[in-house]
Amino acid sequence: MLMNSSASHDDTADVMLAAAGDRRAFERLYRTHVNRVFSLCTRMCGSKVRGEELTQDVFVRAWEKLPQFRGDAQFSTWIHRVAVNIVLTDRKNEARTRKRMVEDESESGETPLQKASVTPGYGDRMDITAAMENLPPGARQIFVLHDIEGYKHEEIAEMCGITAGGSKAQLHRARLLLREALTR
Amino acid sequence: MTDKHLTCAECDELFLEYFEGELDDARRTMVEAHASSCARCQGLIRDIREITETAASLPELTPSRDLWKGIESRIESAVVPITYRREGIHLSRRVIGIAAALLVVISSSVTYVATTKTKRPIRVVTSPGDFVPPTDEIGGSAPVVTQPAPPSTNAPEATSTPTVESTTPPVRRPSVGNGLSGSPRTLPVTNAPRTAVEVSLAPQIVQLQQMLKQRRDQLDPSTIKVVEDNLALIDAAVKQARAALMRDPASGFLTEQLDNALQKKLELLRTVALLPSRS
Repeated sequence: MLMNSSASHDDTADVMLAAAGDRRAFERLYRTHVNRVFSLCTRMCGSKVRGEELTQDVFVRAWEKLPQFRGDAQFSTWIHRVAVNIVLTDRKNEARTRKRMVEDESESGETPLQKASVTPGYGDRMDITAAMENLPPGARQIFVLHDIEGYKHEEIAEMCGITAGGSKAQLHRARLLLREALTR
Repeated sequence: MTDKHLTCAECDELFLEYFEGELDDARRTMVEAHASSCARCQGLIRDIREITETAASLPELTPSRDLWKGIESRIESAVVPITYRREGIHLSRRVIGIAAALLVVISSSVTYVATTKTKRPIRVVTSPGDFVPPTDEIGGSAPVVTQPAPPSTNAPEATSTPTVESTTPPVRRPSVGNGLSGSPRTLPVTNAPRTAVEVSLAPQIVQLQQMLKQRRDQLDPSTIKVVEDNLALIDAAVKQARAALMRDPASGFLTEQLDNALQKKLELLRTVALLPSRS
């Protein structure tokens, strides 16, 4: 899995304090990791609004589970995994998610694509972000996990409950669909 | 095989493995040879590479608002506020005291019964990477066992704890020497096998005990006394369960008792860590 600068940050002391109930220490952990968790949630679920809600769910879950965190992995890796599980669980309730997205769209007049787009000016990046939103959910999640987050097919297979071959096939499909959307 | 010219359809079949880097040299060369003379396949390879490169370099997104307030309000309810804790401190002491005393009584009686009846496999963590602090740092004092001396007469005399190879799963040692393995040396057990729960709780217990040491001056002496008395009771229960486990390592029930006592200790230490400083 790819690690960014925040992942290399040494969280050990704050993790210990937060596990003992120190909310300030947990807030520092939140500030360090929020953007990365939010990026993952937003890109996997396809909605910035829902991404924010899921990000909150991730940190609440992390707070609850922190006393069980044994430090075998880095905190950044652990919370990333918590985030993936939260998003995948959320996907199981597709109907509710769809309804929420429709409501959000009608409330703000924005499309989910516009909401998830990054700051204008990125050119291709903005296009690919928008195109990703139109991918089928399964293909999008595997594209995000593999090509953006750097997970290996074996890891994705374990998290999503599919085979590594299935993950490869979905990824290839996602890339071809993206190409089609971007060259249309 | 390398002389064969692929069609676009055949390339399409191979593209998945091609992009995963799983094609052997011969087939990869064939795909690339085809692409060099086929604008369609060349474009596809170029585009897919561009997509993966762009995806890998996408910047992190930032939420449109500060999400911490929402998170804080949700986790707040799970933690007792410090002011409330101060008001209810006498009740807490009583509850802690009763709970600890009950724990000792229950574990004493069931230990006696269990050591003669229960025979269930013990859950032992054998991972060499697990952090295992000395027994007396987690709870209870270390029982004394015998251990054979090293076979080499030139080996230096052991002065403290026995050396254990990190790759060797720990094995519970007999509680008495059998007289067959040379001159036994009496050593404290610091490498006895731990239950999974014990291993996972040990670092937190050690950390919180250190925190408690540092906070001694900040807490009321009577509070310290109550805490230490209760910790002593729990440690006695831990010691008792551990001693019983030495006699009957296969008892799942005793393992459970030990785990429960350690959980109690952790809960008490956590509670103390959150106590307000004396005014």
